[in-house]
Amino acid sequence: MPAQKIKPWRGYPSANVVHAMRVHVNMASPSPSLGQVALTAGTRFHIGTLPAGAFVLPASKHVLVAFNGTTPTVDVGTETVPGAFVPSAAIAPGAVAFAGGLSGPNHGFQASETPVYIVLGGTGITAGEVDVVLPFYISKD
Amino acid sequence: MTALLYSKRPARQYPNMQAVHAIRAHYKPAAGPGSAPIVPMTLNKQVHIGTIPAGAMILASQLQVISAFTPTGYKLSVGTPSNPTLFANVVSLDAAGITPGTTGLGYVPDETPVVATLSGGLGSPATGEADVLLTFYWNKD
Repeated sequence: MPAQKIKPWRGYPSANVVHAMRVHVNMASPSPSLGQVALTAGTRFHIGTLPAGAFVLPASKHVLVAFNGTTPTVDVGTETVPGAFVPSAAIAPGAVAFAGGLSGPNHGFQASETPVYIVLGGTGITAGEVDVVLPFYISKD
Repeated sequence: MTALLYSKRPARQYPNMQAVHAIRAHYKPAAGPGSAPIVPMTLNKQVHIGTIPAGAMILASQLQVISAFTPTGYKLSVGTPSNPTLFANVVSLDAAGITPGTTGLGYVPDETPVVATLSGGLGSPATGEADVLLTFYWNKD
C-alpha cells in the first residue's frame, strides 16, 4: 500500500485566530464528499499537521454512532504516541456523546512540526461514527 | 412560534483555512442599532445572528451578561428557529455572569440558522449588556 501523503497545515500566519484540524470517521457508510473516512484497525490515518511552535488546545469529540465489535478504541495522536492528543478513554467510542475540553499527554507547545493521526483498535468493527476537532494556536503575537 | 425579525445571514467562512469560526451577538439596548456587533432586539421576536454551515461541529457556546439589565425580568434564549432555546434556555439577564451552553453542541448535518430571542419584561430594557458566542469548525480536512 502506498504511503499516505502527509497534508501540510493550512493556516493564516498573521491572524489572531484559533486553527484546528478535524476528522469524521464513519465505519458503516463513509461519504467522501462530506469528508468522512472509514478506518482500518491498526492502520494510522493522517488527519493534518501541526506547525512547529503551535500550542495545542483542548479537543472536542462527538460520537454519533457507537462503535461495535470487540473492544473498539479510537486514538488521536502522533506516529509514536497514538493517544498523544485525544486518547481513546476520552473519545469513549462505545457510547453516543459529545464532550469538549479533552486533552492528552502531548497537549500544549509543539517544538517541531507534528503530523497528527487517528487510529482504530479492536476487531469486528462494522459500525461507528465519530467527529473529532483538535484546535491549536500558531501566532506568537 | 415567534416571528423572525431579520432576514437570514449566510455563513461567512474562509474555505481553505484551518480556522475555528464563530457567531457572535452583542446586545446593548441603550446603544441602539448600527454599531456592529450591537444587535437590536424586539421582545419575543427571533433575531437571526448567524448561520452554521452544514457539516460543522459546534464546539462551545456561552452567554455572558456583562451588566445586569434594568428593569429586571428580561431573559435571553439562543437556538434555532424551530428550537429557539437549544443553546441558551431563557437565561435571566438580571445579574452579570457567564452561562456556558451544554446542549446543542457537536455535529450538525444541515445548515443551521442561529437566533436569539429576548423575552420576559415589558417593552424594551433600559440598560444592560450581553454577549453571545458560538464557536464551530467546519472544514473536513
